[in-house]
Amino acid sequence: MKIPLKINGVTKTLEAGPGEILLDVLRREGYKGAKFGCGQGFCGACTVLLDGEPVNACLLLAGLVEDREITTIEGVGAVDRLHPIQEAFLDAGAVQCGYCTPGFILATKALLGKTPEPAEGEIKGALDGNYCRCTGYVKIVDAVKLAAKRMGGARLGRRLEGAR
Amino acid sequence: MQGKISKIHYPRNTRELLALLGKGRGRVAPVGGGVSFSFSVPPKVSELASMRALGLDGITLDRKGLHLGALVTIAGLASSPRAARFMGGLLAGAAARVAATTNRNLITVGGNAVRLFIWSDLPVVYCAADARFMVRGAKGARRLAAEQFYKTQPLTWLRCSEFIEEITIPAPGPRAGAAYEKFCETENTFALVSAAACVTLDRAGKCASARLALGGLRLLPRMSEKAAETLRGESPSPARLRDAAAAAVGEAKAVRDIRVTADYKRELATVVARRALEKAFAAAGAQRSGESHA
Amino acid sequence: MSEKRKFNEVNQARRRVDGIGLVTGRALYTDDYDVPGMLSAKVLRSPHPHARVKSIDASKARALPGVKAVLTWRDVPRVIVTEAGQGYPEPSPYDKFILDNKVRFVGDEVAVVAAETAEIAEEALGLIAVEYEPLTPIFDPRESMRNGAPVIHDEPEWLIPIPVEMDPKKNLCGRADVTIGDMAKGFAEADLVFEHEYENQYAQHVANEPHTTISYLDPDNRLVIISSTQVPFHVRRIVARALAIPVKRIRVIKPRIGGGFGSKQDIVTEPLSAALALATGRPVRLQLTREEVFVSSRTRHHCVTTLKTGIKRDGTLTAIEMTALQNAGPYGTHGLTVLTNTGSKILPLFHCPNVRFNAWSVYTNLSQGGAYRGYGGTQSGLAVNIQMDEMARAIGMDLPDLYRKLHIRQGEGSPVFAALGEGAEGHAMTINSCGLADCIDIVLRESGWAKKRGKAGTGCVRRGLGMAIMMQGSSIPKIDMASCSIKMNEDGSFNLLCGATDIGTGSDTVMAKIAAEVLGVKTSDIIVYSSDTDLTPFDVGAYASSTTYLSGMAAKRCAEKVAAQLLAVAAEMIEEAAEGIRLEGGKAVGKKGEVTLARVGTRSLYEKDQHQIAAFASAFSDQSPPPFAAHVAEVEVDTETGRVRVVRYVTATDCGVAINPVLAEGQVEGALLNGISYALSERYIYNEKGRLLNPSFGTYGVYFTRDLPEIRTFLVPTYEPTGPFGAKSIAEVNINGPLPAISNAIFDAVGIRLRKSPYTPETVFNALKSS
Repeated sequence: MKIPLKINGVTKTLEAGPGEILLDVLRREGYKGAKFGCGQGFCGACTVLLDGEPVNACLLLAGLVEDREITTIEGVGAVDRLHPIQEAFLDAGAVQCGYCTPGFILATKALLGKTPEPAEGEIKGALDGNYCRCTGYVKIVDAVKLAAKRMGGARLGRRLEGAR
Repeated sequence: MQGKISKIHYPRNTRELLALLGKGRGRVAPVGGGVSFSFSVPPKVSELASMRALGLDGITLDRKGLHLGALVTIAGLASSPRAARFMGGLLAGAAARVAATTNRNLITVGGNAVRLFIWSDLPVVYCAADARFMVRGAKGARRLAAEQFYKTQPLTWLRCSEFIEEITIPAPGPRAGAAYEKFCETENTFALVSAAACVTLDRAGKCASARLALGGLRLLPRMSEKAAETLRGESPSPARLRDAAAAAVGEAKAVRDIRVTADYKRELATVVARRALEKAFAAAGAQRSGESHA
Repeated sequence: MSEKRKFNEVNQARRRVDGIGLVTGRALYTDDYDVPGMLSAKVLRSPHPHARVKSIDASKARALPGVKAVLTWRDVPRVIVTEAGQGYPEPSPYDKFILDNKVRFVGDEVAVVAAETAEIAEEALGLIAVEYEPLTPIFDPRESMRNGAPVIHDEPEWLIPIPVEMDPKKNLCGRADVTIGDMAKGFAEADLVFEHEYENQYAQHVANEPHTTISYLDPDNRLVIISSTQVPFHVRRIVARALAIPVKRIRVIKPRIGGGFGSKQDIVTEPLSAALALATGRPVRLQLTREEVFVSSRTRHHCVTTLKTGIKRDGTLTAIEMTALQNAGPYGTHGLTVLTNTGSKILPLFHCPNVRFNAWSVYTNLSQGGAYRGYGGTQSGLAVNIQMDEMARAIGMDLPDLYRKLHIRQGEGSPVFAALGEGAEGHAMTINSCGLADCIDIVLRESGWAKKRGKAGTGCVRRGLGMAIMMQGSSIPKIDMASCSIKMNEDGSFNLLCGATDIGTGSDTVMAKIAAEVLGVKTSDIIVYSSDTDLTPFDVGAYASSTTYLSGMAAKRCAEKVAAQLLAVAAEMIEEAAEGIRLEGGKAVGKKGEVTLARVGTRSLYEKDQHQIAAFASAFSDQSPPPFAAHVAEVEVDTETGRVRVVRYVTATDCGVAINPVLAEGQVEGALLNGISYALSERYIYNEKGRLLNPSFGTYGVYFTRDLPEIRTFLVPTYEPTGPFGAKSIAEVNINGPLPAISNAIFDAVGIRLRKSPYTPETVFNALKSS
């Protein structure tokens, strides 16, 4: 079947079987930043944003996302111009093996989009669907705080710029 | 890959959905987020009908209570300002404890109500809060109380031509309080037990009504008439609440859980039920003192 | 720090060299490789814990359209191997055929299918008819050596390639018995003697990436294996043996790895994937499901440890006798070495003249043990640190004071180092760096120990503080070898090729920083390529906390050789003696002048006396300097439910000079949280037929963000003179603390002594009820 949707801002038509899982379809289409970790919706390695909210691509039938907007890690930042969240993850030491990193970055993006200055509890709550064995999460929470601070600073800068 | 699914339909309205379900005779299943279908498809089902175009994704609050469209996501319920205002945030709070963010953004209220697991959160709350389920079928809608809805597993009695349209949680009377308590070994493992309590006080501060539902002992939420009896007309003293919780768990057998013994589950359920009652009565008491100050 | 030195790259905050690919999702893990025409493989696994395969009929499966190969034990070489990814000759028994006519646990491999799609392969599994003859299983290691116990390994090919005591007829796959001093005298001198049994549970590493291997034949008919492994060179050697093909025919490529923690130190998915590629001539991908990772990969060894200690009233130890019975599971991968490390990773930590370590590793029909971060130190850390708390309380001493009195110090050795090594005798060693005293001071101060210890409070939630100290090693002395090559480019950058296997630890970055420090360039001027058996020099791989210490030493030596070569060119250019020229800021700076490394590189490749500036270097050590750590856990115990929550956890670690402080802290925190959830919730639950019932995130019990307590991490700088720029290891040591520290904290809170992990709500509830 043909599934019209938007991926990373680009309108596309995915070809997929009616019983196919979105994660498999995305990976086949080259969006390999979404990883297989458990296939049961627990670990969040397959996280993508569905209309801006983090979801498990392994729990989604591709046929049910028609006309919706998917954001994968490939749609965040660029190799030569990282997103501030990506910069913060590197600077805070939040990346070890990196397998969970796309999921955490996408979940962070959704969080900071709604809550620019999250409290620690809000950070832990928003990232609760993403598993990491390497870091013990400490540096990941640090990274989210750092990203929030930098993005807040940038916003403030733009506002001051506008006021002048 | 769910090889069994051969087709997905996109009905534009209720009439089209009902027609598909009717024609399907059990072959076509109505689907919201579709999460459960990604890992298990019921025996007869080979086609899905997406309910997304039906406009059932609203949360409204009126004098009758809080109305949840079947397509509201659990995350949507958890973050809804209306749900936060209603019954001290009972529904929103319980929704926030369903699985994890990445799941809550997908799972819908309707799907969550129908696909029952022993660790399910909201069904326990629906029972305690005496929620009403609007089930739409070819011959119109029927309204079912939560206790009826969960008398047996919904999937065993729901007709293949029916779907959940809306769940309404009735507005509580004056001096009401509610609470949901859940016990997990870790935050992301399935709950061992849970309890929801909805209580009201009379003007004198005695218990006017108490509804207590337990989760985790068996697949279906367990409503306790005995707890209600123990509390009705009595002051909610610590000893009384302890008695009520013990009465609720009573002789109930816990089904086998690979992680703990049935005896421990019962002990745990007693503690969790008592804590839910304590919080519910505390909230009701705060309302009452607010009333007397006013 | 004994050598105070200002570093330019080492010990400075730098982004990891592989970071951009990781944060943009472009880094390629095994499963991300598209190989045209790839088949999917699935494994048929045993439903029986112990059985003989009477017959297998795969004809229906082979006939299923889309199936390209079905392999059973009849279709693979009958060569006995060990799947332990250790140096050769391995200290693990050769007790495994990649497919066998006997199965030894529920989940053991029976047959493997390659098909056009995963769904077809899965369907084919159901068409393989297997007739089993069930045999009596063993589920309790205490039963394994009883007379008349079933023999799990009766294959005549069984062998152990090194001279150690093992006996498959008695289910014995590891043995150690070492005595130092006079035990009878030691116990006679004691004022008090303590003896208790301690027991830790099975657990899984739960790396986020499941084991995955892609195998294919290249145009020259060589076998290429892309795999999620910690040990590419061992994979090459063991697969060659298992498939009876020459080593030179195999190339193993390590792409990005999604975490290992020891689980990928074994040869798990490689042989079957490779056998299918050879059988079909097609590329084959074999990826374990999450359930298979739990059931059929590797676990932490379950171990029953009896500890008997004699102590004087002033805290002097007179004798320690540790008796360990380790459950190796169905195959003896790492059994012996985890066993000896159970003694060697903690007994040297304490001054004691009389020490005995007496231990057995035995086969059972439960899950297969393997390497797991901590590697025995976790098992014994539990017993020793809990007994220290018991003894300190009995003699009326504050636990940290007892630790301070007893712990090893810089300049001291321990007879245990020489007596007990990796499956055999060890090597004498003197501690050249030890910051443990500072570690203890820091965790006491930062946890508020003096104020909070012994103040449980009243009410239904009680608080308590517990402590533990620990050590590990840095590489396996006189066994591990690491090597590295560096060549210079014309722009003053360098390619560093190493066998060191970055599995997410940041070792590529460590190697780059060390080389950059020597060569006076930026870390980003070093281009690292690691672990490809065709291209990079040998390294044993990512295990035994060896990479920073040993591979880092290889990088340093190699960079020094390269520096000497480029200084010779620079000397000609500046026209002064090489001895006076320094390398800094990407330049060679002499007294008469300076020249950029780009100029040096360009000259050496294009202009004068053209030659490639390049070198190889190896590192090998007779030392394994321990990192040290101290922990304090603060817990809350809900006395009504038995639930224990860690509210705050403070650690201080001496890892020498931290090459990359933020990543070193990350190693501490990752190990720590793994240890905390291991102490409180992670466990394997079996039914009475030996089947694992909770192979899922929903019931197993790893921690997610909402479980995260407040964690405070301190690095205590020391300088390890034998390490590269003063560095020691850090990866493993901190996983050994939470089991005892949390148990000790629970005692402080509610007065119950838990000697068997995990401390689940039900365990604590029952202990409270019976206390």
